[in-house]
Amino acid sequence: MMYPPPSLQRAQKRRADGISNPSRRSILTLGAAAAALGLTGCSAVLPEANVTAAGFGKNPSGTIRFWCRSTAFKPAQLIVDKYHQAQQAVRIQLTVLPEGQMTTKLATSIRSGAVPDVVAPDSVTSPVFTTREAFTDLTSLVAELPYAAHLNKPLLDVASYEGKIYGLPALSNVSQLFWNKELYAKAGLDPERGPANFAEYLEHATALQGIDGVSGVTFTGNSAGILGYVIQPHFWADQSPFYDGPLGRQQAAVLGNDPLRRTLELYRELHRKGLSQPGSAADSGAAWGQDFLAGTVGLFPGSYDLVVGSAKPEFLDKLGVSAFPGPDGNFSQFSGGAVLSIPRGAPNPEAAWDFIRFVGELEQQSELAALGWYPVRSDILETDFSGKFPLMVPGMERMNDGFAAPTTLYTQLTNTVQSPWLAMFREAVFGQEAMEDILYRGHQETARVLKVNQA
Amino acid sequence: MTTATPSLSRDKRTRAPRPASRRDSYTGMLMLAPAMLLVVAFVIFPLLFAVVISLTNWPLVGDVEFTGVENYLTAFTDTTFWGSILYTLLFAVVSTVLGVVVGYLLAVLVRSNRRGAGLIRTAVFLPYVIGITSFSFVALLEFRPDSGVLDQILLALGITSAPTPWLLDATSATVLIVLLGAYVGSGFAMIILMSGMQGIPDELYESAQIDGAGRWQQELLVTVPLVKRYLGLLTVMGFIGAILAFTQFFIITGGGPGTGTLTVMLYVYNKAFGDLQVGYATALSFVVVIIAAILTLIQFRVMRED
Repeated sequence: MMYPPPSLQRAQKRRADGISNPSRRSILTLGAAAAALGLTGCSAVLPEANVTAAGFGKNPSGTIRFWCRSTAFKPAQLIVDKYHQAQQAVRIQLTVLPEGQMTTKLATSIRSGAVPDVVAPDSVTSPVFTTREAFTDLTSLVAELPYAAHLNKPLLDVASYEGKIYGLPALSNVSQLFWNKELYAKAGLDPERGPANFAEYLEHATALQGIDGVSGVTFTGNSAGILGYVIQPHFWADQSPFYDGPLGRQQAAVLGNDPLRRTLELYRELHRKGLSQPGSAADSGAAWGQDFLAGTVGLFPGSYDLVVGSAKPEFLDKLGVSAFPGPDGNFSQFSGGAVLSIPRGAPNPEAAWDFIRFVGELEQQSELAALGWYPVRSDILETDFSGKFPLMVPGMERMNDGFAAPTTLYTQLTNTVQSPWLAMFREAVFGQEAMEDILYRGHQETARVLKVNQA
Repeated sequence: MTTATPSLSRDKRTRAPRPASRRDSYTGMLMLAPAMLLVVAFVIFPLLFAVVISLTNWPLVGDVEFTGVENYLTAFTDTTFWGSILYTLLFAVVSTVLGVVVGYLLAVLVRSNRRGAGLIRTAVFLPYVIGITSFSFVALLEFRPDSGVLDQILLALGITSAPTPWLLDATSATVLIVLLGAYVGSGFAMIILMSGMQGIPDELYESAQIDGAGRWQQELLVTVPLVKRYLGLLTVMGFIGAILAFTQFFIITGGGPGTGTLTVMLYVYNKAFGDLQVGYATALSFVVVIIAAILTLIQFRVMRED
């Protein structure tokens, strides 16, 4: 006699006892319901404030939530305190996010629909949001500002997408090439003039190396972020980034990029000839520039806030500073920093804009400089700024010659240990392979990263 | 009456359990409902929702588009993903074996209540309590060339002649992370195995001794078979934990140099929160879950056959 399988027997008994199992249909229904419920939150484009409405931002009040990165905590707190002193109607809740978490947390808040009123992401990540309709269009408001023509153009560019402006530059950190004038004089070089092209860079480093106990140049060889900040300006000087094209449709531009190739060759030569500090290959930036500050290095591709924030006052008098030379004489610098934006769906956009406008005023910008951040307005040079911050002047004068990495994929292309940029630099400078092979591989990997992330 | 009593008591003894009535089953369901509700809300719904996400582009910022099985097809051709899987499996095998072996040896050392055993137990278990996160930050500093204590010791002993960038080489970085994992995790293995060993009756060792077994034979023929279940448990737990390894790699190497120490969980994390490709990252997670489940089943099968 054939018996039904045990599972069927159990089911028949349970049915006879009046107990029913969840059917396949009910499970599928539950799944479909879960999917439907989940997909109701799929449209991530939040409603945008009408900033062109009459009287927008004229009588702000209430509370706004302001998110900034931990790096920018000091200037953010300073500005918030000043804003609170300047008026009573608007109060700000400042939230400081750990470095590297702004993109994730902001993206998550946008997905959930619970966004802050003002955000100050790292400028290199602003395009991630501007290209996805996540921020409020501030074009008309920015255009009305009396100082609009003086704003930092590279930062304004990364805050813009398809002709619309989604943020106001607030503060900037700028990479600069520093040199020790005292060592320059000892090496028989003109202390008032740094290298203006690659030939001079090599010549100066060689002369400086001739001084006993001194290295020609110091650079960090194992930090993707620092290398992007201080090395890429060399080929940006000739407007030759290693990726190119409109946002979202960028292509690799490594092969045939002569300024890039010559930049890598320059640093390979500095390393092979022993003109850079020992251990540069392993240096991940923990002691970035400390040897320069100790007076044992002639040239330092570095950062103003690091040098001025760490050096003794008497050492500052010995410093020369300029933007980074390109292979044959052009100059560029990295214009990092922060752009203030109002996420779509912000509860109090009027007060948010009032605060943003306040940050852009000259008085606040001047105070940011005292904390080591570059102002974002060129007209500050018409004040007593130059006398107060002489080492900032070259960077301010070249403000619009800088670049702020206009790509949605800065992190993937440059700023991680897996980036094609770091691999390419390290292989070219510290490896033994032929440059053609390294550049070919760099091109392929850059193209792969762009393809995978722009799909 | 007198005849009815034995009959009734016999009925009581032999009566089959009363079938659950509709009312009983509703009561049971009602009592289960709060727990079921939590399971549905926090396990089943997220799981089903994750399946849905894996079938979309889900970009975290921007509009969601249904892409079908495209993410899964992409995963199968993603060489970085499969490279990270292979690396993770290698790491899992090495770190699990090392963790269990070191834990066993430590358990042998501290299983008797001889003087000082408590101190050793505490000292070895302490890193497990402190946790891998704190130790990863300490390791990051101590593995640095020049200033790290590892280099200082090796230079002082004359084992190396120049500062070594340990974390710039995938092999040396992996070895250090495996050793760190063994240092932190072996305390847990020690405690589990020690409790198993302390449950073995002394008579068994005495019998073995009478039969002429030496110390090593007693260990191999008495202790090991009787703590086999504990060893199996630790192997499965250690292996699954190693497959999911993230913290120490995130802090110490970031997956570098290049993709030299990129574990699969770190890759999934980078895809979700670096590249904001949550849909693709979720699909990768499901692939990892399937692989981990298959490997765990194989482990269970091998252990059952033993």
